Amino acid sequence: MQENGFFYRSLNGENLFPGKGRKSKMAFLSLYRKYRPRTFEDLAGQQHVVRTLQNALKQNRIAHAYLFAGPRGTGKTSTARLFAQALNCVKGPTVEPCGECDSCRSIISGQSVDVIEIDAASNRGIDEIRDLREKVKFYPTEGKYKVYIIDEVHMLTKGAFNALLKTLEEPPSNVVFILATTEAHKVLDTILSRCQRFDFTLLSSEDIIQRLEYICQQEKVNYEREALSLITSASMGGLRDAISLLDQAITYTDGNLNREAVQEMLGKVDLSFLGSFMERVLARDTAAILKMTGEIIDSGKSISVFVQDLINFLHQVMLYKECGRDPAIFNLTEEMYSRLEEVAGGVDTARLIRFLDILTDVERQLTFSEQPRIILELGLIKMTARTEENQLAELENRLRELEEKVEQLSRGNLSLAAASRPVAGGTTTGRSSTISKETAHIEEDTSAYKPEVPGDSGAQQEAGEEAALAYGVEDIRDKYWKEILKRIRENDFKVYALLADAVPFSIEGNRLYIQVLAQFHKNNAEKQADFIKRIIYQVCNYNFEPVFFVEGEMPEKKTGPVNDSKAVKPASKGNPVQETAVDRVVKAFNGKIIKVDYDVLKDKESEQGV
Amino acid sequence: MSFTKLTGQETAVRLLKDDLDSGRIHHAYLFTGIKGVGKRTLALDFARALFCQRQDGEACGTCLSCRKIEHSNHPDLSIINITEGDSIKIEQIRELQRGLAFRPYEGKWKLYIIEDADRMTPEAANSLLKTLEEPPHYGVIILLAREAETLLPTIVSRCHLIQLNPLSVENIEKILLEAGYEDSEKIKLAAALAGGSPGEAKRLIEDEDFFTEREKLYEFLYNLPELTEVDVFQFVDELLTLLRNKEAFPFFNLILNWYRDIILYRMDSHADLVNSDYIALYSKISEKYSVEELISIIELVNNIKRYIDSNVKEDLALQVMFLKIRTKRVK
Repeated sequence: MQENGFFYRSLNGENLFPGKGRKSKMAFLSLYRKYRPRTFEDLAGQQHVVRTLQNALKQNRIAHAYLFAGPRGTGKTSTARLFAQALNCVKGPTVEPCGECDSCRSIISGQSVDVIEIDAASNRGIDEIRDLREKVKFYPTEGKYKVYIIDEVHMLTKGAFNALLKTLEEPPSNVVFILATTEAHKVLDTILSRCQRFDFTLLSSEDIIQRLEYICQQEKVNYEREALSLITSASMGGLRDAISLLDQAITYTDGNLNREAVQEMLGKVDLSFLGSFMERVLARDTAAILKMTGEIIDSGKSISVFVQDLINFLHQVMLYKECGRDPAIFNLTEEMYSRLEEVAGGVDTARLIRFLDILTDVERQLTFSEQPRIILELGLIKMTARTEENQLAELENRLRELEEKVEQLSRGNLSLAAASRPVAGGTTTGRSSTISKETAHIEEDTSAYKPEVPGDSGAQQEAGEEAALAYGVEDIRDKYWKEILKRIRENDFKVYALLADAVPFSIEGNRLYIQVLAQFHKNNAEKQADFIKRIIYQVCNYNFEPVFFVEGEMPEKKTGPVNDSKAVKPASKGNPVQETAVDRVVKAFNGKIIKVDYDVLKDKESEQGV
Repeated sequence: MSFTKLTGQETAVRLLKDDLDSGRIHHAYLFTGIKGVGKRTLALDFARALFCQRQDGEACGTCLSCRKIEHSNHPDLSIINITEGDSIKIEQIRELQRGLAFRPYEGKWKLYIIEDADRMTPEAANSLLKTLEEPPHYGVIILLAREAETLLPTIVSRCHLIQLNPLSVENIEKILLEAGYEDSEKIKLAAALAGGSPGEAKRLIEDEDFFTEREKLYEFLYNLPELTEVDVFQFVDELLTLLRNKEAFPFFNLILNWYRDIILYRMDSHADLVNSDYIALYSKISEKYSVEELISIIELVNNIKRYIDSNVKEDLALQVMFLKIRTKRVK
């Protein structure tokens, strides 16, 4: 096991190898390493952790195993090192490690023999853990405690975790394990239950800004507080991210942190630009939006940052719309308020939510697309194109349908087809009278929305079967057939296949003659006649009786009474004249009708006609 | 010999130069930018300037160090890239750690450049974390990746970020002209098609077959609504060979661009078309598609691309895609 890794030698920023550094000056250290907290006081945020640990030190209740879990840049490794210092300081165990004694200094520079920091992601096998178990039993050399800091512990293999269990549960006295990880859910339960667990949380912006200010003062850098708050919000609560960004900003702005320059470095888009961009979006001026997007991209801004900016902006617009000018939520300048106000005035919340949905989807897709520009453009077009109107129209349609059903229910004359759903028929008729009063006015309201659909107004019910005449077969074929097929398809693909090539041919009374491709289709469609009838009813709102026939074999219209609304199958309840004759035969022989040969019937009729 | 003139990346170059001049050499850099935008060039320039014996923030190009880098045999510079499969493995990172344990042989620095850092396996990326945070004082690691979001957040937060931006079409044209290509329609087209990457633009110009293949593809897409199933199957067969060579023929990007352009044409944004040479055809077919249909076609193409990337059978996926587009039964 690689103990006491080679990489901590210059931790404290001292040049340990004079003359070797560039231009023989003090070696340069990235700020986040230079300003690693040296005392518990330095540690930003995480008060709940610090207090518990300090109390443990005070009361000398040192556990043998700790687990530090939390997102990146929240102070896990730093706290672990501080705790190790506190344990091994000459004054220790102490609440405030001095940072000056030999022990503290050697821990800071990573040279302590008793504080062993292990990179579990690189040394993740069972062999490394066995090696550790061998060495655990040796007594600490210099300090009072031997501290094992196992960082990135989630990357240990399963075997390694299990090999660690016994040691972790009962290590020799004076040994303390500190496990640190960003992904505690990957750590075995059996490990978790043996550790005192501390959850590190993302830092508040106030904590981060304070720390950044402190660093700026130490580094003697001029700064605007607004610039720091930009950095803070870009860091998403990770202090190391924030200090990294600060480092970059110091280079970028040459040690003069102002808002504009930092905004430029972060690739952020100006608020006034976002405002006018959203204005164009709301005006559905797609061409202008695409042009503005092109400008953004050509100016070298990152598409994902732009999308994030848009999301944040819309989010604020939404909050503003819902909560108004609430200082508890916003921390904005007058200018920003007026921007929010402008946009918020022109958009309703539903649309805002839709925008946010689209944009978060865009954001997600960006991570695995090689064509970020197309993804972004597509999202913007979705936001502006009239497609959503279509959806609204669709909703309106469905609403109208519902209203009509309610209306029918209230009149208690729900047709057989609809009643085939038991709930609709039996239970509602009793209450129909009460509903009717309430729905009476709905009828008036809705009639305004449906000028084009024939047969859907109250007239249909009053006129009864005759209303069918309002439908020409052309209406069915051109307007409704597509929809009928679509619904059939959604319900039963097999039936759809039967009817895919079928054409509504003519209407006689309540019968809808449908020409199908072949005898097979006819036979099977007839078996599904009830279902098809129901769908047709749903679409046309009229109780058509579908009659199927193969091309060139259209059944004679006389074969059935066209105005008998209860005639379901012509075969069983056909022509009244023949019905009586056939009935008599059936009765006499106590049989049933298996098949009706229409060809024979036709021949007979033509003979009679002659 | 100073930093290569990287048109459009002036900021990135300035930042790195400032670091060199002021001696603020960070221990970990992350260069982000799309393929062919100059990440590697910039990293090597940085290496030269860092190692150059004259030590004045520029590379002289004549000293021993500079020449060694030129011949890629500088002992303190290592470049890690994908050697087997399509990812960087943990063993390669362990090797980096072993190497980094030794002090530099010649200069004051030991530099590791990790190309395609976003293609590290999760194990490799995690094993890099501790080293990346606190390498020895002489160690510098440069990661090159397409986008910061594609890396672990724990990696990104340890690095000094240098962003290389996609270039505007004009800038790419300028670069191409400076590189000695003749001014022609082809140059303009390649610049527009390269998606912001000058490297890609150069490759497209050099590639003899690219434009004929593109023409074939677009002819197919143009005729698609009238073609029979057999035509589609035949074309997919032809496409398969092209598709296997993904680097050379950005097949899906071309299809996406085609339908994107139709949308833009319908929106009257004629200036932003990528395939400006096809504008006459767009005028003929743009009316055949509604915007919604176009949007769902693009989404379909994106999805099919993802399926193929995750090992769905290519010919099947493509056939389904084209047949769906043909009948507009996209959803």
